[in-house]
Amino acid sequence: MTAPILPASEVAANLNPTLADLLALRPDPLMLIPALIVAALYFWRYVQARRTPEGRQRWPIWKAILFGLGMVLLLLTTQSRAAGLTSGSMALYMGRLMVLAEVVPPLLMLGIPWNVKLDARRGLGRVLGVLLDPWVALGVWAAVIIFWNVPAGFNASVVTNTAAALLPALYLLSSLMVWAVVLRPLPAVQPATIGSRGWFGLLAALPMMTVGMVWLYSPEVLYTPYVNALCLWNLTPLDNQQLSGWIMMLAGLPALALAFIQLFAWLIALADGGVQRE
Amino acid sequence: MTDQSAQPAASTAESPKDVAGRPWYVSAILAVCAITLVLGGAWIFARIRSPFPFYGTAYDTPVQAAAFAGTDQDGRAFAFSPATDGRVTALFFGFTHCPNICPLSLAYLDKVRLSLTPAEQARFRVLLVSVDPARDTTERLREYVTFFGKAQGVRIPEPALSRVARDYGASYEKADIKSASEYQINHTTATYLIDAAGRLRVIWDYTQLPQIERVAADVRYVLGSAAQAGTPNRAEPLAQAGAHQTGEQP
Repeated sequence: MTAPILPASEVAANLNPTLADLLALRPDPLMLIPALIVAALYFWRYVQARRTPEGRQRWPIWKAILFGLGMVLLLLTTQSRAAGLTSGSMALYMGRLMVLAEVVPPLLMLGIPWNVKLDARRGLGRVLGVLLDPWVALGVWAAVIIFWNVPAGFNASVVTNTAAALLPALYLLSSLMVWAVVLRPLPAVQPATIGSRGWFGLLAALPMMTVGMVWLYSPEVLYTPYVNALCLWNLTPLDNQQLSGWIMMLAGLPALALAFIQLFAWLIALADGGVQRE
Repeated sequence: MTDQSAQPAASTAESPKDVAGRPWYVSAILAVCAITLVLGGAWIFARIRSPFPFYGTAYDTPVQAAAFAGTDQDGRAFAFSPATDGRVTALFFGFTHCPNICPLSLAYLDKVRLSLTPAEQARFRVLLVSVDPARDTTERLREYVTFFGKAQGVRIPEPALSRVARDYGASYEKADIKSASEYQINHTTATYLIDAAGRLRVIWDYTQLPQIERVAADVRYVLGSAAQAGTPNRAEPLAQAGAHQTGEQP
C-alpha cells in the first residue's frame, strides 16, 4: 500500500468532500495525453471503418460506445481531484484503483472490433502475443497486486511510496493484459481456449480476493501511511481498510463470475464432446 | 466476448500453461522477465524520485512544515519557525497522561538521538506538542520530557492547538471521560521529520520507531541531504546552523 502523501493541510481543508468535489477537474498530463491519443486513434479508425458495410459489421456502434465509456471513466478517475485526496481515505484510494483495474479494462477490451488482422509472427502481433501470453499477464498482475499490497513487500523498500505515482498506470496496464486474456479480443495472436481462459480468470482473481479478505478481517491497520491518516468522512483508518477489503472483493466478483461461466462452458463442451465420441 | 467458436473437445484439456502456442517453459521465462522489468522499473522510478530508500513514509513532494508558537517546558515562549535554526526536527503530538504510545515514542526517539554522532545530535531535536494543554502544565511537561531524554515539550492553548494539528494532519479527541480531569485522549501517532530547510520529509508510525537503526538512517540522510535540498524559502545555509543551535526562539 503506497498512498501518495499530499500536504496534510490540503486533505484537512475539506474532510467531507462531496461527489462534485471529488470529480472536480485536476489534469494529470502524464495520463491525460496518452489517453487522449489512444481515444483519438480509436475513433479515427472507427469512422474510417464505418464507411464500408464490412467495416460496420465488424465494428458495431455498441463497441465504440463501450470504449468511449471506458475512456470517460479512465479520465474521471485520473483527471479529477479524487486522485489527490486518496491519502485521506484508503477506501477512496482502492475504489479509484478498482475502477482502473476492473471496470475500465473490460470496457476498453470489449470496444476492440472483431477480426483485427494481426500476424502473430511479426511486429505488433508478435509483441501482443507475448504481452497477452497468460503466463506473462498473470505474472505481471500478481506482482503488482502482491508487491504493492502486502505490507512486507512495502516495508522491504523494494517498492516504496515514492513509486506510488506509477500505481494507477500499473493497475490499468496489468489489468488490461488480464482482461485481454479473459475476453480474447485478438484471436489472431491469442490461441487460448475458453477452458484455459476460465482457469486463468480463476487464478488471476485469487491474489486480489486474498488481499481483500485480509483487509476485511484484519483487526489492525496494516499500512503505515494510513495508520495516522486524517481520514475523510469521519471514518477511522480501520474502517477505511475494511471498506477497502469490501471494495476489492466486490470489484473482483464480476471477473470471478466470468471465470466460472467460462469454466462451465468448457465443461459443457467437454461433456458434449464425450457424447459425440461415443 | 469475442470468442468466435467453441473449440473441439480434444483441445479443451489445455491448461493455461500451453495456450500461448509456445512451450510452457518459454512462457514461464517470459513471465519472469516481465515481472523483473515491472519491479526493476518501479525500483528505478522510486530511486529517481528519492535517491534514498526511506524507512518511513516519504513525502512524495516535500512540503513546508507549518510554523507555530506556544510555551516550552520551562515556561518560556516557544516559536517553531521551520528553516530558521538549521536543525532537523522530529515532531509528534502526544500527552503526558498517555499510558503507552507517547512514552514509547519519546524513548525510541531518544535512542535514535543517542545513536547519532555528537555533531549530528547537535543538529537534531525531538519536539512533543501536547494535545492535552488543560492537564499538561509546563512543570508536568518538563518532568515528562526530561525523564525520557532530551526532548522538548511544547504547550499550545486551544484553539491554536487544533489549527496546528490540522496543519500537520494530526487529530485528537477526548475519550473514556470520567471527570473533567480524568480522561484519555485518542490521537494520531505519527512522528514527522522536518529537515533543516523546514520541509516535511518523512512520517514514521510509532510501530516503526523500535527499528532504531532504520529510523536513525532516515535522520542521518535528512541531516546530510538538507544542505543539498535547496528551497527558495530556506532561511540560511546549513553551514551556518551551528550559530543557532543553542537556546529556543524567543
